[in-house]
Amino acid sequence: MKLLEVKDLNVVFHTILGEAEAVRGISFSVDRGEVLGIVGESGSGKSVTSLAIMGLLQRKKADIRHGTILFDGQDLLSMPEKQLCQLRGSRMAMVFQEPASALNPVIKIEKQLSEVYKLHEPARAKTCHSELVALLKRLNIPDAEDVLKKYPFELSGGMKQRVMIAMAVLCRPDLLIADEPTTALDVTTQAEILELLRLVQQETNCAIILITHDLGVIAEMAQRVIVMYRGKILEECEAESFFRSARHPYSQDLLNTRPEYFSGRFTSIEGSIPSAYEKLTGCAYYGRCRQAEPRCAVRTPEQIQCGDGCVCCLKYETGEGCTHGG
Amino acid sequence: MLRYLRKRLLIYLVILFGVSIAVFVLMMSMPGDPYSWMLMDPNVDPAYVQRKLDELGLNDPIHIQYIKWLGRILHGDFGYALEGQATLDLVSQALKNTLLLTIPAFLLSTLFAVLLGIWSAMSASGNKILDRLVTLGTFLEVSIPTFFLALILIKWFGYDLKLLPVSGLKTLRVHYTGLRYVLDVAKHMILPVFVLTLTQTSGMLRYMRSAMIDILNQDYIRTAQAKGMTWRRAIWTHGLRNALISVITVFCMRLPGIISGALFTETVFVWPGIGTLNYNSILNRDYAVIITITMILAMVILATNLLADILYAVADPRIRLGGGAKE
Repeated sequence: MKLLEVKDLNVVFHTILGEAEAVRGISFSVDRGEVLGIVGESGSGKSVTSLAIMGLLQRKKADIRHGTILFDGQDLLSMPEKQLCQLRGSRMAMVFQEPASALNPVIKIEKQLSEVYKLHEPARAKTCHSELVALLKRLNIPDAEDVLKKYPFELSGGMKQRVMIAMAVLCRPDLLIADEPTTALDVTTQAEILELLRLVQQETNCAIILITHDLGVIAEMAQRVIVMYRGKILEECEAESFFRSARHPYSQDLLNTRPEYFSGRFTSIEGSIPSAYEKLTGCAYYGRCRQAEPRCAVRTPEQIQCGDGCVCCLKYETGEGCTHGG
Repeated sequence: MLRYLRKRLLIYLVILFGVSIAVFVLMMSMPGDPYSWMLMDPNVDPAYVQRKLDELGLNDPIHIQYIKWLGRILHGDFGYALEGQATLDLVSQALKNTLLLTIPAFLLSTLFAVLLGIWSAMSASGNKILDRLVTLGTFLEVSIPTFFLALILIKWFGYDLKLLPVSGLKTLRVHYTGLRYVLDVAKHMILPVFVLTLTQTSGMLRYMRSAMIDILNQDYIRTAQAKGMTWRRAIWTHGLRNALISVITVFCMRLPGIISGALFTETVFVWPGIGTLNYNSILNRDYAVIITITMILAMVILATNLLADILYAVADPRIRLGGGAKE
C-alpha cells in the first residue's frame, strides 16, 4: 500500500469574483521514504494541493468537489476533525513557506515546540526539554538552550525555518510536506535548509513532498517530479529522466529557462498562467505552448502512461516518443 | 522598561501642569461669575462687595490667582462648593455612587464584548447567521439613544411590570440596614447597569470582532492546526492573546468613562453620580467643583495611557524586548 494516494482531487474556491478552480482533478501517490518534488508557477495549485492533504484548507471558502486522499489507507477527506488532528503533527507534518508568520509572535519557541508533544504524547511534554535541545542541535542551531527561551522575532529567518522543521519532525512523521521551504530565505541559508531536510529524511526515513518553483531544489532533492500547471498535472516522471528528457512542452520550456542556459539574455516563457476564474477548453498550456497545434485548443488532453511516468499532452496520444532519450 | 516608565511619568507631570493652566484660565476668563447672583440683594453696598472680592483675591490678575490656587491644590485644599461642602467630599461621594454603576457595567460589557466578538468572528467564516445577528444587534444598539432605551426600560420594568424601582440609589423614606440595604441598592442598580453595559458593549464588540477576524487568517493559526490542534483550540490558545493585544487601546480608551460617569444614564435614573454633579456644577458655575472633576479626569486619562503602554509591554514581547516589530 502506498503511503499517500491522491485520486482525482478537485478543489474550488468560492470568492466574490466567482468560482476559482484551483485544482482540477489530479491524481498521484507517494511511497514511504520517497522524496516527491512538485514544481509549477505561482497559481498552479501546488500549495492548495498540500493544504488539502493536510486538511488545512479553510472549509468555508474552499470546496473539495470530488476526489479522495488516502493516507496509509485511511480516507482523510471523510475523517472527522478530531481524528484528523491525531494524524496531523504526529504522522504527517508540514513546513510552511514563511517561517516569520508561521510562528506565533507572542509565544516562546520552547512552548511552541513542546506543544506538539502536549498534543500527541502528553506524557513526554513536561520532560522534553533536553530532547528539544538535542533536536535543535541536530538541526545545526548552535545555542539551542538560548533559542528555546527566545521569541520568534528574535531569531533570523533561517533559524525560524529550522525551528519549523524541528516542530514538524518532533514526532517522526511518515510524511513531511515542505511548501516552498526555502523561498523566503537567502541563498546560502537555502542550501543549509535543504541539507537539513535531507538529513531529516535519511534519519527518520519519512516521505517528503517538496513543493517549489526552483528546479535546482528538485535536482538536489527529489526522486520523482510532478509538474503542475493551472491545477493539473502535466507530467510526472523520475527526476533523472525529467532533467534528461522531459516530454511535456511546458516541462521543456521550464528547463530552458534555467539560468544555466544563460546566453546574454535569460529565456522566459511568454505570457502568463491563465487565471483560475477562466473556464478552460482544450489544453491549459495552449496559449503559451510553442509546439501547439490547432487541435490543442479544442481537445482536452488526457493523462497518458508514458515511459516511467505519465504525461498530459496530445503529442503523445499515439504513444509515440514516449521512450526516454527518444 | 523602568527607565521608560520614569520618562513617561515625567512627561505626564508636565502635561498635567499644562492641563491645570488651561482649565483654570479657561474657567476664569469666561464672562460673568458665580458671585453676582449670590449678591443680587440691592441692599448690599457695592463698595462692600468690591472690598470683599478684593479680600478674597478674586480681583487679582489671573496668574496670581492661578499661583494661589495651585498652592492650595498642592496642599490638598480643593476649595468649597457654592453650597458650602468641601469639594473633595462632594466629589468623592458622587464618585462612589458612579463607580457603583460604571465598574460592573465596564466589567460586564468587556466580558460580553470579548466573548461575543470572538464568537461572532468565528461564525463569520461559517454559520453566517449568528454573525449577522450580532452585527445587526450592535448596529441597532448604537442607533438607539441611551436615554430612549433607559426610558423604555423604565416604562416596561418599572411601570408596567412593577418589577424594579424606576430611579434613585435607594428606596426613599425607608431606612434599611445591613443586607437588606445592600439588596435595595442592588435592585436600584439593575436597570442603569444594564443600560450602561448595553451601550458600552457594541463598540468594543465590533473592535474585538474585526481583530479576531484578522487573527483567523494568520499563518500561525494554520501552523497550530498543522501541529494537530482543532481549529477551535488553535484560536483559543494561539489567537486570543494576539487579538487582545490589538484591542488594548480600545480597552484603555474606555477606562476614563468609569470615572467621568454617564451623564444620560445618571440623569434619567436620577443617580447621584459624578456625571450629574459635573453637569449641575457647570449650570451653577461652581468653579471649585468643575476644576476638581476636570483635574481628576485629566489624571485618570493620563494614568490609562500609562496603563495602555504597560499592558502592551506585558502582552507583546516584541514591544517589551524592543525592535522586533520592524524586522
